[in-house]
Amino acid sequence: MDFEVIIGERTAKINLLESTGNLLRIAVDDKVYELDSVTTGNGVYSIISNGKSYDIDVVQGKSKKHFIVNSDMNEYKVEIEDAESRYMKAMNKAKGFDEGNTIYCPMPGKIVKVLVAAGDTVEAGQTLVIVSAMKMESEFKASKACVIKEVAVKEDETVTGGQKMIVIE
Amino acid sequence: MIKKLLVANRGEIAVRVMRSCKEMGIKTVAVYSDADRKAKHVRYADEAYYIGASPSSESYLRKDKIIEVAKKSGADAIHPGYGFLSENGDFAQLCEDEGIIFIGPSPYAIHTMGDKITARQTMMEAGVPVVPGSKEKISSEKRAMEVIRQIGLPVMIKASAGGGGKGMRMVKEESEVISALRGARSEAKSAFGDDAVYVEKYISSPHHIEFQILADKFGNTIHLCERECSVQRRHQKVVEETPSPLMTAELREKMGRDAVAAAKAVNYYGAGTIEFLVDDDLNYYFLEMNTRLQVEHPITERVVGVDIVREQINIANGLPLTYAQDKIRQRGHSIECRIYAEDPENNFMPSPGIIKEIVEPLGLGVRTDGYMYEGFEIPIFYDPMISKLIVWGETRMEAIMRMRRVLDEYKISGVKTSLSFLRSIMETPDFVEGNYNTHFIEKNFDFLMSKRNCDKHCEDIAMIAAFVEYLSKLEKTQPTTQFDVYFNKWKDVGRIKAAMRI
Repeated sequence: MDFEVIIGERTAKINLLESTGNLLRIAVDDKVYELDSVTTGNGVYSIISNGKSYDIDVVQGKSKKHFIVNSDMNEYKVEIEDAESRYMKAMNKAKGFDEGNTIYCPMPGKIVKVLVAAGDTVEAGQTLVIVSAMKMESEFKASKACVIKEVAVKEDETVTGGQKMIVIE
Repeated sequence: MIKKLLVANRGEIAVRVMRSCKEMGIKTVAVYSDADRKAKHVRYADEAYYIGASPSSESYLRKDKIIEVAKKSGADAIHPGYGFLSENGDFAQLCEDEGIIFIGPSPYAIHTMGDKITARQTMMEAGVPVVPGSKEKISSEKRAMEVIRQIGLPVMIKASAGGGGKGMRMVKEESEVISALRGARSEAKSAFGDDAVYVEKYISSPHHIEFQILADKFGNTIHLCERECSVQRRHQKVVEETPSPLMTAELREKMGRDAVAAAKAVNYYGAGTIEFLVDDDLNYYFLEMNTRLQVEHPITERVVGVDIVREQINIANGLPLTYAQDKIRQRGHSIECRIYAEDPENNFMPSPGIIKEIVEPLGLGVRTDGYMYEGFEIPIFYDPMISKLIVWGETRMEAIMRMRRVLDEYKISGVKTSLSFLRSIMETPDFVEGNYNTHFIEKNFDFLMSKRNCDKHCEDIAMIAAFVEYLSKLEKTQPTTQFDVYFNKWKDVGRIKAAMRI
C-alpha cells in the first residue's frame, strides 16, 4: 500500500516504515525521519525530530483525506492520496467532471441574493450570488465568461460550509 | 447604588463588563439568543435569560424583551456594551422611563452625536474642526450624485447611525456610487436598523486618532489621552496602540482640550470617545463621537491604570469622577490586536465554526479579552471579532516584541483566524518604525500576505503530522489495536482461518 501526500504544488511519497509506541520512522520521498510523536487525541501533535520540537495542529478538511495543518503560524492544506482516492479521481476525470466548474460556499452562512438562473450567460467578474455571514456580505463572482448550468441554492436559505451553490459549464 | 446589572450584549464585551461587576460586588444578568445558549457570557453571569431567535433583530436588538428581562430579574441597571443598542437613544430613553439606569450618556447626547449630521453642526458651534461634507441625509441615489459632484471625489459614504466601520464605503469614481450607496445602506439597515447615509469629503492619508473621555454628572470632564487606530482594513480597526507614535505633548494637550470641549457641548456624562482624523501636518478634524464603551478601551486602561467600566458604573451611580485631569499619566506603551474569525488567505472570508482547541497566551504584560472555549460554536449571526489581545511594555519596542511572542503563543484551531496576518503586521517595517496611516494595510499588502519562510523540511513535518493523523483515524474506524494498518488484514485472515479450523 503506498500513499502520496499533496501539499501545495508538491506531491511526495510517504511511508510508515516502523512504529514502536511514540517512536516512528517515516520516509518522505527518499528522506527517512526518526520521530517521537505524541498527541492529545484531538489533532494536536507534539513532534520531536532531531531534537527540534514542533507543536502542530491537524484539523480535518473537506474530507477524511484532506487536512489543514497549522505549525508555527504557517498553514498548509494537505491531501493524503491513497488507492481509493486515486481511483475516484480517475473515475471523475473519465466522466468529465471538473471540480473547478462548481462554486462552493466556503463558510456557513445565509444566501442573501441569487442573481442568476440556470441557462443565463454571464461575463467574467459578474456577481452570481451573495452570501451573508457574521454581518459581512461576500459576493461570489464568475471567474470567466460562461453559461450557468445549475443554481443549487435559493434566497434566504441557510447554507453550510462546503455546500454547492452554482455549477457553470 | 446599582446592585444587579443586566448586560444587553454578548461575546467578549459582555464578559468584560461582568468582570468589573464581579469586582464591585454587583450581581450580573445575561441575555441570550438561540445561537448563544452555550456562550461564555451566559455561563459567566449569575443569571441568564433567553430573549429570542438568533438574528440580532430578534434578540439583542429587541428593546422590549431586554426591558422585560431587567424587570423580571430585578436588575437596576443595563449596560449595553458596544454595538447592538449601545448607541440607541430611544433605548436609553426607554430605560429611563422604566426606572432602569442606562449605563451610558443621556438620550439627548446619544441622539445628537448619533446623528452624525447634527453632531457635525454641534461641533462647529463648539469650535471643534470638522471634515467638509453633506449637510443633510442622502434621501435618494439622484441626490447622492448631486452632493458628490458638489463636494468632489473621492468621498466617503457613511451610515448616519453608523459606527465601527459598518455601513461605510469609499467612492473614488462616479461609476461606483450606486453600488457603494446600496451596499452601505443594506449594511446599515442590518447593523443599525436605519439605512440613512451621508457623504463626507475623503481626507487622503489620514491618521485615525481618538481620545477617551470620562465625564460625571457634575460637569467634570477629563480625557484619558489618545489611541492610535490607523491600522484598518476596510474601515475596520485591526490594531490599536497608545501612545500614538505621531503624538507630541503639545498636540495631545490641544486635541485633549478639544475632545473635552466636544463632550461638554452635549452635556456629556459617562465614557465616550472622540474620533479625529489627523493629516501628516498634524491638522485634525472631528470625525465622530462614540457615545459608548469602545472595543479598544483596554489599551487606555493599561497605560493610565483606570478601569473604564468601573468608572462608567460609578458615574451612573451619581458619583463624582475618581480622577482629576492632572492625575492622568500615561505609563509605558500598550498595543491591542483584534482577532477575527476570518481567512486572510481567502480574501478575509468570515470563518464561523466550532473551536476545536484554544490556548491563550499568558505571562507578564498580557491580557486577553475573549469569549471562546473548546467546543463552542462561533455563530454566523454576529460580529467576526472573537478575541482581543492586549499587551503592555515599558517602551513601544518592548510592547511590539511582546505582541510577537503572544501571537505565536495564541493557538486557535477549528476556525480560521487573522492571527498570522496580525503577526505579519508586527514585522512590517512601517509599523515597527511607527510610520503609518490608514493606508498601512493597502500599502504593505504584499508584505503582509507573504508567507513566512518555510523550507522543505517544515513542509515534510506538516505532511508527516497529517499522515499520522490520517492513519490514526483509519485505525479508529477499523477494530485494530496496532498502529501499522497495513498488516492487520493479514492477521484478520489468519484469525478467520484459525477459527474455521475449529
